[in-house]
Amino acid sequence: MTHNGWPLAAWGGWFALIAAMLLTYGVAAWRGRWAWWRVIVFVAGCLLTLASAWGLHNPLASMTSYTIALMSMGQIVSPLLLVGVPPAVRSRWHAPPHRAWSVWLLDAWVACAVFVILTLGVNLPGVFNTALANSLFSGPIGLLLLISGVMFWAQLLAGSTSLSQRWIAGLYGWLGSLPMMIIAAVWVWSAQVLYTPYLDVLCLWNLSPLDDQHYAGLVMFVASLPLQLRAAWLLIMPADAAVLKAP
Amino acid sequence: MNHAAPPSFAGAVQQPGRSGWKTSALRAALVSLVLLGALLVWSRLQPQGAALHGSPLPDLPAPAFTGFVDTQGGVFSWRQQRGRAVLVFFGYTHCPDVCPLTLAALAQSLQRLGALRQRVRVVFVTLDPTRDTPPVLQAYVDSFLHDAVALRGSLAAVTASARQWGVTWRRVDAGAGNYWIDHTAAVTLVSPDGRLLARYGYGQLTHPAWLAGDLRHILEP
Repeated sequence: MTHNGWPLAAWGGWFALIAAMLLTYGVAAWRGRWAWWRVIVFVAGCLLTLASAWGLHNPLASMTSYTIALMSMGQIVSPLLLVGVPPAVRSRWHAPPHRAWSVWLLDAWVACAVFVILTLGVNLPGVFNTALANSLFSGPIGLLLLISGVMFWAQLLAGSTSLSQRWIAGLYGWLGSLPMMIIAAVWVWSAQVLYTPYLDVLCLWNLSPLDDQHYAGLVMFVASLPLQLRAAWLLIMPADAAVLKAP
Repeated sequence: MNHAAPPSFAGAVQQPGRSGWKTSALRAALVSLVLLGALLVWSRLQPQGAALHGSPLPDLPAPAFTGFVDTQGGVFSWRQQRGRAVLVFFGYTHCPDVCPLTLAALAQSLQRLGALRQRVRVVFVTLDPTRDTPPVLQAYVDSFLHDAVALRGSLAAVTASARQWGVTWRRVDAGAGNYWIDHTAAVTLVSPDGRLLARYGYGQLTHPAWLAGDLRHILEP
């Protein structure tokens, strides 16, 4: 562990979270005889969570690697974890006894608000204190992005969504991806360094801080693609065809 | 297994018990306010280091420079630095760009401190003990900062210390016996009581007033 990294308690927290998720999922999957590919997808999501946590533990190493870790947590891990659960099971989250939490976490309006606020608050320089993005806070920020990603992606997947129309969900997903696209565009096309706390890579990767920022923007562009593809799928694919393959 | 509740998107079935849009909008407004408030409070109520322009570090004692000596052969001790803010930078004298630029940036910041300048010490730790002999090191740091401490240790000591300070580095051979060193270009600020405070990437040193302001913040009562 380096002094600019995480304390052991932070690592312990992530491992405890993954262990709890795997245990809960394993029991449910075994009882429900869930499809083997869903189990693989969920386990892949858990492993990727740990890999992303590793990328978060030293955000000063590179803005690009930090962005990869954050985007992976929010835009890749989130759908993997959700798809690991069958749609019929996700659908039951809207009924008691889950309703106490699902009226908040699975509400499309709440999910959109949380997702957009966190995307802008964490990634746009100057919105909040820049200290939000450093090794002291990268763990909680990663967790917040994971939660907001799960909340938002839940609205784009059958069962967990609160949106009744596919085209509304498609539009919802596309609009939700806009803040990421805007931030990515700002980072990629900016002619000056915007977020100095990340920039510590001049020698390490032979990248200038500005190049590093540009690469981080490209990463965010790419990270928003699954969201946009899912939104396009919902908008274009007819409901009958999609029901047969509801992820 | 009960599959009675049909998934949404399946023929646009609205699931029973789901909220109307007004309730949802109210919830979203409430959550937004709480989230914005929490982020605002979070960004304000931070430890001392977080109030600085540099990126805060965990509140830990600064690692000792075990196996290092200064250019006069003396051992560096954090106890001797009590009462001073210390800026630690790992580099090497053959560095073509970031090391001289960083030391020049530090010098510019320190010039702004006036009388407080006496209570700040810069420690330059060489990553290239083979070429950076004591006379070379001393001449190098003197050209930027007259009172900087230059430390030199064995390769094993450098490797261990760099790891402790979160500095990554690697030797890159340039042919014909020449080489350069890729390394983390960060300056670490240590408090007057010998604890880690903040870290400054090169981009954070381009505004001399930032570091000068941070040093005043921790040195002035």
